[in-house]
Formats: sequence, structure tokens, C-alpha cells
Amino acid sequence: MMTIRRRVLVASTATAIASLAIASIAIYLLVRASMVAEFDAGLAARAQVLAALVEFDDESGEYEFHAPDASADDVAYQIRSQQGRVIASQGDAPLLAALAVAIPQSPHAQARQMANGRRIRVLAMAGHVKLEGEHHAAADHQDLVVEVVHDTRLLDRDLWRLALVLIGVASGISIASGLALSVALKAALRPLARLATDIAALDGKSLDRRIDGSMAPGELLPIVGRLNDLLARIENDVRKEKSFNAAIAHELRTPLGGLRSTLEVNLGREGNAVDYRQALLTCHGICLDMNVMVERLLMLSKAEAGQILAALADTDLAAIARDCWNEAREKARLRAARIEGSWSEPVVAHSDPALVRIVLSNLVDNALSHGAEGGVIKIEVAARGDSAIVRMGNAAPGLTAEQATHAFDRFWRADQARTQTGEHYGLGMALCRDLIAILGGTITAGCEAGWFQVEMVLPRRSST
Amino acid sequence: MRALIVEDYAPQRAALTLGLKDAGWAVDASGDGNEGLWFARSHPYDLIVLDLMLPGLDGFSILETLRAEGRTTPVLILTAKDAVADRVRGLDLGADDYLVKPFAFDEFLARVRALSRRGSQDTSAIVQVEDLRIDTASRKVRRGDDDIDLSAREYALLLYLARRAGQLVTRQDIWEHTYDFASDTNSNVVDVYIGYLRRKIERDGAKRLIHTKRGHGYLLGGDG
Repeated sequence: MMTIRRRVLVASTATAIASLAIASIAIYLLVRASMVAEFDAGLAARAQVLAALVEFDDESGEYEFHAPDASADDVAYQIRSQQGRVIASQGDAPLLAALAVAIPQSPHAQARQMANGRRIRVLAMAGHVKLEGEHHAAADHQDLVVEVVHDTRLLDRDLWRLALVLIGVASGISIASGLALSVALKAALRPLARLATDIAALDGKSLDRRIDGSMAPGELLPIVGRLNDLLARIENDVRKEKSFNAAIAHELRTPLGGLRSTLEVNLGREGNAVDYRQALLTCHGICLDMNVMVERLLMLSKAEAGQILAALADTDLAAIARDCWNEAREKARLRAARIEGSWSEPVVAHSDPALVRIVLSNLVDNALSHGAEGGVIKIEVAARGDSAIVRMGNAAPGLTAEQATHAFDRFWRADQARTQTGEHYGLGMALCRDLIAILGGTITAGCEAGWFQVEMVLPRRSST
Repeated sequence: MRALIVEDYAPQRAALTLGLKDAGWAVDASGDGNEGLWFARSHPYDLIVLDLMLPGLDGFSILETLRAEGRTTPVLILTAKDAVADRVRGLDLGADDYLVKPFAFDEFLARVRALSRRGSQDTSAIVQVEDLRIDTASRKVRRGDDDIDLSAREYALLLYLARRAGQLVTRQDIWEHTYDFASDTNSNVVDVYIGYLRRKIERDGAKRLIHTKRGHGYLLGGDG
């Protein structure tokens, strides 16, 4: 795995090496050009000197050349007249052989390589011999061609040394900068390692801990901040989940206790068929109640996970409200509840009839179960602008406005002591809230002067 | 022995009532906190089985009220609340035991027996009066080498007398501690059951164990 440290190190070192290489090459080329120019200037100067050593004997019509005393084995020259006659030549024979090839006249020398691989530079330049005497005007002269060849061994050696020095220096600088960068990166990334250690130390039991960002560099502070925010959210969610799980366990204890006691008591006694049938009916009833609870929990879970999709269509809320009330007639009779419904006209919402039915059925059941016995339940279905509204109210003696704000909390009951244990688990209203949210609506509950009212608002038209 | 069950979950209440009656208890039951308190105040129960989460009035409040009024009836809290804080609160308010739902019914009965022994001389599940031996755990009664088969009510009556062996027990006491509110209100019923008991434990010329103190009540054991 490529670490940040390695990436930065490789990229930085590569950049440094490339920069140094380019700089070294540039320096080399500049110095080389300078040295070659100097070398060539030396050749040109030598050629001029050689030309100056040529004299023309006006009487004999011959050239005279006063060869310099000193000679070197790495240089050769040849002086020719304009007609191509060799006036003078000196030097190493192989070098002189190189002059056999025509050399264009130029103030600049040319680099060549001899057959044996020897590198040379040659220069051919025009010169002239001034004709002096009474027969000649001041400007009279004879043209010459001076050709000089110089072995570049020393020049090449110096240039090679220069290249080696530059390569050495560049390599040294690269290695040193790489090492320095490595150390600097290690130090710079230490807070990251510390952060990783802190994060690794976190587990389910230490979610209340937070990452200490006081020593972190500025670049890491946003990460530390977001991380701590994330931890806070996780802690909150885990706490909620634990609380929810505890609530489920708690709620299951009562029916489970009833189930177990009923079974154990009846298993431990000699009863008759009627007794056992009664016990079985009791157990069956408990199982059905627990089934309702589990189904609601599953639906809540699906709603929260976004697994319930609304099949939107024209939905007559008034008709569904009437249906839900009719289905609850028997319970209403037992509770001696009366209905006052304002639902004669169709009120069509753009909603999911099945989900709306679940919500209204829960609300009716809630009103019947928790409303005052013998009381009235008012259901009003109406349209207002783009909204379809259902209001359901019932007398709720003893319920306070503050208590009503918890109506949609899971497992919450108005009577904290307990009301209708085993039948109502405090999940219906929470389910209503989640389903209405899926339908794009809102649901609110409030209590004023002992009158509990739920208002549900759904869109009448498609939002698209 | 007479118990009060205050439990709002009907199936649990029914199972407790049935199980305790089978164990020889007279049982009154209520599913409401206020009604439960009324029961507890109106009768000298030998045991109160109390749920905590009740409609009307919660179990803690009932317990607190009873203890504040000086009522020392043993109270067994039976609840789904399992938090240490709830247990501590319940016991500190004066509960004698605390059992979390769901529970094994045998354990519940064992705790009930343990609580019912408090205040008596019994230290085990066996109650012995002369050659009469009552195993309260198995609900078996023997006199000498003979097993005696008793109905639930006969057993309850005998156990009540045995726990007070050597003491005069009035009909009123017997009525209050062995019959629930739903029982036959025939004032003669105690005498009738004493008769049943005598026929079973004093048969074949066995030594008389239940002595009648005319105008006062009954006495189990001794020479009368």
C-alpha cells in the first residue's frame, strides 16, 4: 500500500532529482559551450599567429614561413596559399591527415572524429600576407588559408570531469534532500499516527471519549472535529438503540411472564379439558398481542430504514376514516364511545391508501383505548388549499400538554404507571409518525384542557 | 393463608391466582393500583404480590402508603423492571422480596413460602405438629405413617392452624386468612371445614389434634 509519506517522498525526491538534473545539464551545457568557445578562440588565435608568421618574398615570389619554436603533439596546422599550395605544415601526421578533408572557412571550429575515434576540432580561416615595398600599395596582400586541428582530449577530459562533478553534486543533493524530507515527513505525520492510535483505542464501551485535537496541526483539526462529531452521533445512536432494545426487552417481559406463568401453573396441576383450553386460549391471546408488537416493531424498523415505499394514488381520506371507524365499532361499543364524524364529502389526497389506512386505524384504536370511557371521539376530514387534513380528538382526562409532546415517542404511555398492559406497547403513534413522513405529510399531537387532538396533513397533489 | 395480588396484566394475574390457590392460598386479585390499595387496607393479608407498573396508582406508591400506615404484611414485588435502582427503591420502601418477570413459577412459590414463614417459628418448608407433618413445598400432609389427601381449602385451613399450633385461633381469624372475597359467605363454612379436616386427620381413633374452644375458636396440638 502506498502511504502518504511514501507518495510525498517519492514525488518530492523525483521533483528534486529532475530539477537538479535539468540544472546540472544546463550548467554543463553552458560551461561546455563556454569552454568550447574558449577552445575555438585559442585555435583562431593560433591560426592568426600562424598567418602572421608568413611572409611573401616579392623578388622570388615565394612565401616564407617562420615556424614557431614551440610545438605540441596535440595540435597540427597547415597553411595554404589561395591556390592551394601548402606553404607550411607541422604536427602529428594523423592530425595532419585530418586536414586532407576540405574544411569550410569559418570563424568557428568544427568537431570531428577521426577513424581511430580520436576527437578533434578543426578550424579553417582566411589570412593574408601584406605585400610591402615600393611596388605595392598599402592595401596589397596575398590571401592565405590557415587550417588548424587540435586534439580535444584535454577539453573532453575537463568536460567529463565537470559532468562527473555535476552528477555527484546533484546526486548528493538529491539523497540529502530525500533524507531530510523523509525525516521532516515522519515528524509532520506523527500527529496522524497519534490520531490513528487514538481512534484504534475507541471501542463500543468508550464512545463517550473524544479525540484530543489540542496537539494536532491545523490541517488535522477539521478531521478531528468531524471525527468527534461522528463519535457524538454514533454514541447517541448507540444509546438510542440500547435504550430501544432495553425497552423492547422490558415490554416483552410482561407478556412473556404471563405466558410462562400460565403454562407452568397449568403444567403443574391436574386440570380438566376446560381448564387446559382456557389456558391455551390465554396463551394464544398473549401470542397474538406479542405478534402485534413484533409486527409494529418490524414496520417501524422498515420505515426508519426506508424500506417502505409509498404507492401513491388518489386516496379518499374520508372514506378510509369511515372504514376504520366501522372496523372499530365493537371496541367502541365496549368503551361506550360515541363518534362525531365530519367526513361526508370525499377528501382526496395524493397518497398511499394502504399506509393511510394503517395510520388512521392506529389513531382510531388509540383514541378508543386511551380516551375517556363513554366519551366522544371527533374525526374531521377536510381539504385546505393543497392539503388534506384529518383531525382526530378525544377527551383525555389527566393528560397534560407536556405529556402530549411525547405522544410519538416509542414505548411512551400517557399513564407512566401502565395502561392496558400487554395490549398497547406505545408503538402505534411512533409508527404513524414514520408512515406519514414517508407519505410526505406531517402529523402533530397536542392536548389542551383535557382534549387530546392529533392532526395529520397530507398533500392533495403530487409534488412533481 | 390469604394473599393479595395486584397485577394489571390479566393473564399474569390469572396465572398467579390459580397457582396460589392450588398451593392452598386464598387469593384476592386486582388489576388497578387504587383498588389494590383499598384491598390491602381493608384486610389483614398474609402476603401481597405487587406489580409496579399499574394503572391508577403505581406499586411503589402503594407500598410506601402501606408501610407509612404501619402495615407489615410481607410484600413481594413482581415486575418487569429489572434495573438495580428499581430493586433498591422497592426494597428500601419496605418490600420483602423482588422478583423480575418472567420468572419460574416454582421459584415464585418458594419465595412465597419463605415469606409466609416469616413471623412464625418455622425455618424450613416442613411444619410439624406432634405426629402431623406438613411439607409446604410439595403440599403433602402425613400423620404418623399415613398420607392424608386434602383439598386446597382443607390444606389452607390446616396450614393456618399448624402455623399457630398451641394458640387459640378464632373463626374470624380463620375466615380472614383462608377465604377470599369471592368465597362462600356462609358463616358456618369454617366449622364445616374443621369437620372435614377432623375426619381426615383424626380417623381410626387417632389422637385428637384439633380442639374446639366453644365460643372462641380452635386450637391445633396439645391436649386442648
